[in-house]
Amino acid sequence: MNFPAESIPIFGALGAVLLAASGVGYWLHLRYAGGPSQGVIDNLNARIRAWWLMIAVAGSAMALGNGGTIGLFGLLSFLAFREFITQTPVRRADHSALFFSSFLVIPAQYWLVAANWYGMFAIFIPVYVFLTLPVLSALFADEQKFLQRTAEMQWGLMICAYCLSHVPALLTLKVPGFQGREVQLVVFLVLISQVSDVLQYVWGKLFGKHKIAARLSPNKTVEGFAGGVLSATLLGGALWGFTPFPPLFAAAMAFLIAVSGFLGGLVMSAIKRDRGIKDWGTLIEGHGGTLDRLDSLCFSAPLFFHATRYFYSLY
Amino acid sequence: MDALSRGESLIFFPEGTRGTGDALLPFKSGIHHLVRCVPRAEVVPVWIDNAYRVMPKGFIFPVPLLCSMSFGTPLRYTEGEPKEDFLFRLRSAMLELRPQ
Repeated sequence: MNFPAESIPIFGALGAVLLAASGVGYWLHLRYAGGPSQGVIDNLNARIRAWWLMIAVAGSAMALGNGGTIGLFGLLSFLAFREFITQTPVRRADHSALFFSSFLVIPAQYWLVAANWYGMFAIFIPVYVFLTLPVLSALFADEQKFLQRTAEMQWGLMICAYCLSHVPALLTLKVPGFQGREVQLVVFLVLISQVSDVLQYVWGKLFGKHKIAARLSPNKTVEGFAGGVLSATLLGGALWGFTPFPPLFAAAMAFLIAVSGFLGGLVMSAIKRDRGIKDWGTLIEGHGGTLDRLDSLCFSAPLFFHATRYFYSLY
Repeated sequence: MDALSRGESLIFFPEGTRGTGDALLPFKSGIHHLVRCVPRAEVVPVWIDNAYRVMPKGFIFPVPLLCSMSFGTPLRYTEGEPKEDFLFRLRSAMLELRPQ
């Protein structure tokens, strides 16, 4: 066990917030048991319990060092891709391509992170895999909806494997004066992205009136978006000492993470709405599937990675 | 039959093979034969959804997909029930479990 010391206050603060949330949740449960809002309260408590578990898993993975963090995100990519292709009307002819994607491409992409081979990490999926997948499907000579099937598999890999692998790839950045503390970039990104989701939800529930794209997601409102993004930006700025960035830049990064996360959630909602489902899966009680929790991170991770790499990292 | 007579459970696939996922295949008569010999056995209909995509016929490796299983109310074979009637009853009970 070598839990990074600088991250202990963050986890401590998360524990305190969750402890307070669990207390409030328990009080609501006692106060309103059997009432009309029982369902909402039960869901809230299930979400809070799941947060304890998710933070415990993230903390344990970090304690195992870079390998633990890379392995955790590799597993999350696998689970997310599984949820994605379950909702995708691929055909029998795509079986080999799906096997190749799940069991070879995803491990290989994370191996490239671990091997610190940036050039291949950046082009492996968009060049080599994207050319190989339609070949594997074409070999089975089934032309029905060929372009659609190929595009859906490619998009699944793009979101679930390629984009998400940029989270542990932060560990490979060489930020001057920040060596050995790269895991804090991962904590910063995941923390801001998840807190921004929660804050948008809370602001939306409290003050939400004007819906954004009501057809896609009834929970997204202008008030929730503005309040959530602003408070996440402030939190990011306040945490600047934890990052390699000066205060204003840390706030700008948090703003980037929050806005791109919101847009990611919107895009993934459109896919879910088209498929006629509410959640991607049932893995995390109260939250839905892996992809329901990670949709915002999938969009913010590559942007945060490249912004950090461009402005702060030595090539 | 020995297992059922001893009161143990048996998992039985009445289609007798893996399907293509388009429709429920015609049932083989094995399940009828079995319950006729052990009429006190309960038959619990189960629908496994999406499993046909995990490993279609002709492939030797699986892909990871989410599947679900739905369980129905147990049926019982009534003495002298014709094969077609029993298989139809079982088939209807299974189709009722199909999601949406």
